[in-house]
Formats: sequence, C-alpha cells, structure tokens
Amino acid sequence: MADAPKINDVRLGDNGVLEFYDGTAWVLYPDVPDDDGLPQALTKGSPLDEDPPR
Amino acid sequence: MTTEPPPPNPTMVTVTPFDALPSPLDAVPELRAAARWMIAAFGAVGVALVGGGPLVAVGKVHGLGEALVAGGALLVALGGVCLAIWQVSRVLVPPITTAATLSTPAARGLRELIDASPADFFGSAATGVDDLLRHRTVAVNIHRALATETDPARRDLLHRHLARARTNIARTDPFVRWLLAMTHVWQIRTTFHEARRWCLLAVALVATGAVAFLTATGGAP
Repeated sequence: MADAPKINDVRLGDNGVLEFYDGTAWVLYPDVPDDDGLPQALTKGSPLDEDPPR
Repeated sequence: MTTEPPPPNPTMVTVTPFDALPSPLDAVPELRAAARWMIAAFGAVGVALVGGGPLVAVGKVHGLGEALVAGGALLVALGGVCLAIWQVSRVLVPPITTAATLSTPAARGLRELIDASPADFFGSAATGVDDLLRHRTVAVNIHRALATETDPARRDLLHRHLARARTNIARTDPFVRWLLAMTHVWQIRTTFHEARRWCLLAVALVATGAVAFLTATGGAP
C-alpha cells in the first residue's frame, strides 16, 4: 500500500502537467500572476499617517 | 501525446513596489517603548514598597505575629511587581519569526484576519497563507522527484516545472517578506497583550499586599 500523500507533494499528471496535493486532492500547480499590487493594510508610517499638506 | 507546460521566462523580474510600503516592523519600537514605560511604572511601585514599607512599619509592628503578617503582605505586593516586570520584559525579547510561526497560537489572530479576506492582502497571488507559502515546498519536492526520476522526458518536464516554481517563488517573495514582518510584529503585540493581562493580576497582588501591610502596621503604637 502506497504512503498517503503529504501536503504539497508533487507528481506529474496526465499530459505532463504538475499536480500538488493540497491536503484533500491532487490539483494543478498554478502560475502566480504578477499584477497584484500591495497588501491593503495600514501600518505605522503609512502615508495616511503624515500630516496633510497645508 | 503529452502537452508540455509553457516555458518559463528566466529573465522575468517581479516588480512589486513593496519598497514604497511602510514596513510593519516600524511598529516594534513603539510596542517596546510602551513596555518600557510599564516596566518603569511597576519598578517605581517596587521602589516605593521596598523603600517606604520599612519606614512605615518602624515602631508599629509588635510581636512576631504582626511582623510575619507585615512581611508576608510586603512580599505579596513585591511579588506582584516582579510578576508584572517579568511578563512585560518578555515584550523586549526579540522573537524569531519564520513561516512556521504562522501556525503557532501567537499568530492565530493574524492568520484568521488574512484568511478572512486574502485578496486584500495578496491580491491574486494567493488564496490564503498556505497557498502563499507552498511554492518553496513544491520546489523542494520537485527537486526530490528529479533525484529519483530516470526517464529523460519526465526529467525535462520536471525541470520546466521547477523553473515555474522558482518563478512563483520570486513573484510571491515580496508578499512572504511582508507577511513575515507582519507576523513578527503580531508576535510582539500578542506578548504585549498577554503581559497586560498579567499586569492586571499584578495590580491586584500589589493592592492586596499593600492593604494587608497597611492594616498590619496601622494599629495603635
């Protein structure tokens, strides 16, 4: 009996695609898009902390 | 017939203007300054107890019983001071923050915050914390698969997928760095909040000890 897959285990699926185990099923490994911008969170020093221009 | 994955672009560089984003780490000095103020406040209480207690008790404690009650009460009050200083000083100890820290109870609140609206934090780069952090592990697992694969065609495919994983790592790295910085601050913040709760207990101990001490030493001379 084969060992149960662990999260993020990889395998080559049909047609040579890469699949990884996400904890519940084997899913296609995606390409991350590169147009995400910045996290929408304010921290100390964010521009809104500054005094508005007079 | 096999369909090969699209070849990665090795020259692609992630251009994410994270340099323009203030670091969450900027909050660390202020958290530590607040902790120093709290330590100083409890330290002043301790100095007052140690310095003023014996002066108050001089000539007012008669017999071993009263002396033991007064001494015990003073110890309780000083114990409260020590408890507060000990707990608050943990805020000043620099924590070590790794991706594994996100699985600890100290970062649970941050994780819940992010996983409630991952698009606000990661855009389309990830659907959650686990999704953001998976690429490095996937790359390692592809490396392991390559080490045992002997079929040239499958090795070629794995090499291409490894390049994809590396590209994904490069794209998500700014988010991972930001997340680790936020986790670092969150750890300190959690320690600070825990210390504040301990300070409440410490205040109760100081008050109890002080009242007992004043009661024991407040009798007629």
